[in-house]
Amino acid sequence: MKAPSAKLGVEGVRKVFGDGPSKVVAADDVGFDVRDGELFTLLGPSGCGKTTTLRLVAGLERPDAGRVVFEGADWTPLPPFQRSIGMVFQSYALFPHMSVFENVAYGLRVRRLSRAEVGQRVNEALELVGLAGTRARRPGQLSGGQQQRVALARALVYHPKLLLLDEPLSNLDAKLRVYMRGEVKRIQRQAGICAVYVTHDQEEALSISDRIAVMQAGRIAQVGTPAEIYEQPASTFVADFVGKANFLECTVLERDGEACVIRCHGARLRARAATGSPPMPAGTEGLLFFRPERAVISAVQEGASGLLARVGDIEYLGSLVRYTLDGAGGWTVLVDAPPIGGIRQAGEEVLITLAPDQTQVFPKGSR
Amino acid sequence: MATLAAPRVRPRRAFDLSTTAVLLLVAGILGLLIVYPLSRVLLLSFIKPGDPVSPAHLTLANFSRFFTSGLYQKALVNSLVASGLTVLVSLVLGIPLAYILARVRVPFREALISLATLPLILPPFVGAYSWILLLGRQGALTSVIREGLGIHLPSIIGPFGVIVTMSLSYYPFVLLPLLGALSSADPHVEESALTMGASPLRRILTVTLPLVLPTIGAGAIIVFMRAIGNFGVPALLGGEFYVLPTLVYFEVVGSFNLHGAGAIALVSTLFSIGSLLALRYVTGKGGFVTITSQARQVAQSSQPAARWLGFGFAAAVIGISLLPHLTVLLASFAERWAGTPLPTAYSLINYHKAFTLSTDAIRNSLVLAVGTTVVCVVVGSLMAHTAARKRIPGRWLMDVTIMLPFVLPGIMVGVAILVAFIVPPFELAGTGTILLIAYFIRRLPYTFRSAYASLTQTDIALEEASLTCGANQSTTFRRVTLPLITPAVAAGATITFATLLGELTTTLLLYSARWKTISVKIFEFVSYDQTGPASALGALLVLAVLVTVYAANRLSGRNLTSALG
Amino acid sequence: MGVPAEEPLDQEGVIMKINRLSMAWLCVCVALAVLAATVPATVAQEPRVVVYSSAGAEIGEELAAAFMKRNPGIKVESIYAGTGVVWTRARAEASRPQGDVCMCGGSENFDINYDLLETYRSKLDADIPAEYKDPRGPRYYGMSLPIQVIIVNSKLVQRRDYPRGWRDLADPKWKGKIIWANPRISASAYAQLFQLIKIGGWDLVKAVLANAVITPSSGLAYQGVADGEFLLGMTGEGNVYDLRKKGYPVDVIYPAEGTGLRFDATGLIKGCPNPGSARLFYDFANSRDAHLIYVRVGSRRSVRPDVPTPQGMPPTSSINLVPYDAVKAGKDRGINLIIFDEMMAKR
Repeated sequence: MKAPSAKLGVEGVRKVFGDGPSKVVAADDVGFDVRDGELFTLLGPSGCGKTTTLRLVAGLERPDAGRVVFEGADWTPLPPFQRSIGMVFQSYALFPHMSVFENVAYGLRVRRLSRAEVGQRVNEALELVGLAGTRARRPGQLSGGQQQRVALARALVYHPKLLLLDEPLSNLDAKLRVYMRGEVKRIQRQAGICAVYVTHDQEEALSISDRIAVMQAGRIAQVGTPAEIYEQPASTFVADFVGKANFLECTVLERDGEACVIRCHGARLRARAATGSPPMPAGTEGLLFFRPERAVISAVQEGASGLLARVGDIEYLGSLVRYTLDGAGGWTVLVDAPPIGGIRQAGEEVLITLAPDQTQVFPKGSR
Repeated sequence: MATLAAPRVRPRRAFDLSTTAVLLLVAGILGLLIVYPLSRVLLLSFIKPGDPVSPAHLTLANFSRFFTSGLYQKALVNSLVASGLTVLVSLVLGIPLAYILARVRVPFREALISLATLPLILPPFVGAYSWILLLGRQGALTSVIREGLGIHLPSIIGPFGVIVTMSLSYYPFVLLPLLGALSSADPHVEESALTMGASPLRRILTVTLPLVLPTIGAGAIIVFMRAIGNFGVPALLGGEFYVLPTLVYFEVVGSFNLHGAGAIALVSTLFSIGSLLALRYVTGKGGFVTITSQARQVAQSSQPAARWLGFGFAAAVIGISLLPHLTVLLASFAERWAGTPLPTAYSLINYHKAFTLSTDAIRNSLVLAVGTTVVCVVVGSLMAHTAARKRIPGRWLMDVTIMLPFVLPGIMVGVAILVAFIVPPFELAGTGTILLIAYFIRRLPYTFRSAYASLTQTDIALEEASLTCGANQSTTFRRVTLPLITPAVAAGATITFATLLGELTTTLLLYSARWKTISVKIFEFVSYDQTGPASALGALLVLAVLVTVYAANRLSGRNLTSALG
Repeated sequence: MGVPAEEPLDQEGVIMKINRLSMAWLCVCVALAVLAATVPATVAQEPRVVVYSSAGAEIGEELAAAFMKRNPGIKVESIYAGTGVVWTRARAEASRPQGDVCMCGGSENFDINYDLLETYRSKLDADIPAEYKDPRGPRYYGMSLPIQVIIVNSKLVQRRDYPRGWRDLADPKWKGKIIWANPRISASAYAQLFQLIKIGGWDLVKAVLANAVITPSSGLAYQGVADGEFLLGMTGEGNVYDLRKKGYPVDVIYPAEGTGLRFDATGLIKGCPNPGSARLFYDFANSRDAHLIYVRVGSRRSVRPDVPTPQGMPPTSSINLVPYDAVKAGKDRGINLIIFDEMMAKR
């Protein structure tokens, strides 16, 4: 059942490219809903099928199976130009033979709006993206960030019902990327439009999205809010792909609902079983997952429950210090700690302690 | 923003460039105008003369002379040697010339580039003969070169003359597209090579040229195809240097043996098509210069030394290649020119004669050339779009089909068209339409290939962006695709138009009294022994083409550089 | 809101207009061109006659003018090309002939393409001597005598060195100095070959071949001598006189062994589109007036006894003419050409 506020429904779509030995399943039973006004992100490594999924929503590819539904209407058979979408491409795809004004006006002109209306709307759109002064220029004369805004203005000017963005920021330098993602969010909010956003940058995804779908090898691995994805990854893949992750081999000793007790490299620890993971009876081999910043390191004290390790590499990152900690069993974890109260020395013995609700235990071998 | 009305979505157009409709159209045109007439004739090469055309009589007997006859083997070797060397010389002339014109601010650059298209257009039956007048034993330049420079050139009659003449008329096929590629190549790559401390020559050899290798390869293939299919130049200048088209001509015109002619033509075609497929394989792997919205202009050297050295080289090569044109120009003003190095009397009488006797022919040539060019542009772009953008199986087959009339000897294509369209329901013999069809299939590759190259170099996201903006396929094609490939298509169209004005081989088989063309008139004048008026018409052709090329350059704001990639 | 449109809009508006305009123009152009091209040639269905001629445009135009003066209602449309191309055309059109009258080279061509010709006894049949017309049908009548001679460049060859006959062409001193059209492409060249075989057998051919360059361009066979690329050639006498008239340094040598008596002909195409006017024209082409044009305009020696030889040429009676067995020549053509090819390839 879809939530009543769902605008876009992607239902079990599948897309296969090529056949025979070169066959690639780009999207395999992909399904998700996007709600009104929501910025929904498809996140995953390159080749995971996120762009294919976006192109299926846009109508640039036809699915081999499944449907794309918008506001209750079946979009699957419709070509892109009947879908009321706006799309921003990774390369921006600005028409090099048209000026900025003409680029933005394009969608209005093909809709046969009057000249006055076209002029007015283009001006508004260019103002919205802060480029009112570049109307007469050619795309080749603009900086990357400006081109990106023009592409955004072009996609929004005719008030589409759905905005699609395919890695729109990947061609920008790091600082501009951070700034522009705020801009994209602002503009999307202001236009009040629901949007599907594709990126391989997990930080960008976390900062910009209302909800995220993490994709892996053509399938959706998890859908959730940024916090859900970060805090409660549904699989080791998601945990590993989104943010930094530590994994340690462990054995489940006791399990009681979510709470469990595990043995990990000689230490007996309390931890939390991963949400939705299969039952892990005592004796199950597992993987203990925790984020570097969620662990606490302290001087070794007798009787405390935690993992013993020795400080290896130290990376000073300003706001925090990243320690590479080596355990006796040949394992290594990263732990981030604020540099309050001094920085630990390399070779120092430390104790790693974990709050149980900051951990998850996955069955070993799951992805 | 919310106060604005929702967009009015236009109802879907009745005609869309949908895959099925376009595919049917393309297949229909190719099938009716190329496959139908050519297959009828080429099939004969697998049937013994006299046998009925049926599967039971299929045989390779017509090919046996390639194994038994010394003449055939010699012609095959000659064809390959002459075409290969022509390609080589064209590359040696074209590549440095392109580099200079692209990267050095050469004086009179635009004029030089316009002039460099002219070698393509002089009908060989005039051009080749001009070389005899210039470099023959009694030629105007022969004694100058021998006594002035002390150089003994080999006889112009023979392989030397054939290769030199063909190279000097075909090197623009290398030069022009390469010029475009070098002018639009991403300068970043080269700059990065510079920063890594590469010397200029090393940079050119290891970075610049490999980048444009697909373009060079494409140009080389066109030269090869034109050279291996050329009958006129070897016939006039070859002496006994017989090539495969010579043998085809013997079979068709000497004995109307289409069976034998088809076999020879197929062997020659095998090499052309083989080289074409080899190129597809190579460029399929190599990178292309891409047109995106971020392209930046290439820097041009403006050092005086480089400028004038470059000018000297360019002017020398282009000047030499235009000597036949100058000869024609000179002859057009000559009232008397027989057996002397230079004319003995000058006047404008030739132009007067040419004009008063050829107004209809000039009109016919213009109508046919313009009509064919327009049809070539429309159909060529459409087919290129289909080939480049639709995922259809057997695209190479389409490519080969389009190239077939281009690489077959003109006389074969003429016969095939005549035999195929003389019968009901067509009954086109003697009409302008049959000339239009012949011209169309012979010249389609120019617009097709230039549009195709341009499309493969254009970011497909531009078209997708248009679709997502709400424009349907035909609007997208018209508003986005077409403007983007216009420079390339215009270049192809200009070459189509220019080479059509002087087309003779197929015309001679197909023209009627109502449809005499300029080239037919030139032929008639020559048969009257009126070389003067013939030269006047030739000079007029050259002028018409020069104006067209110049106008096309001005209008498109670019050079005819991206044709034939 | 409501910022007035600035110049980019205008600019775009203009570009849009230009785009539409050029599209419209494009469509109009295509339509016009196709329309113009599809108007059939027969749109003016006035009485006409289509003449296929390899005798050159000069004769063709004069002949047409003279004919139309006598038959003002009939339009003559002439198609000019080389002999081979004209016959190729006629044969390719065999299923629906487009031409009416063929004026195309030596009688051998008419024998080879006998099936394309119409049997018709001309009203002037009696005027043409028996040796100059088709002994069967008749399907063709003689027009002129293409007497094969040796052409020599008088500037580059001393008069005392001139060859006297066909056998002299075998002299090794002419090595590489003789140009000869390939008999595969040129009926005249085949006649020359046949004559050499008759005079000296294949040995003579072999010896001449050793000296000659065999060109696929029949025009070059005499123009090459005029331009000095070659010293000697074999061609029809008319070509030599034409070149001399234009000022080229060339001389005619009538071979001592005699030259074969062949004749160029005209014929009617079977199933031709305008049979009525075709016959009128055909009859006219055999008339004395027409033959006077061949003599005057084309420097051709007429087959009609009542027509004088062209100015500057010796009278026919003074030339050593020997019989030419056109039937045997035609019958042996295939095998002779193959022997010739191989002899040439093996040199």
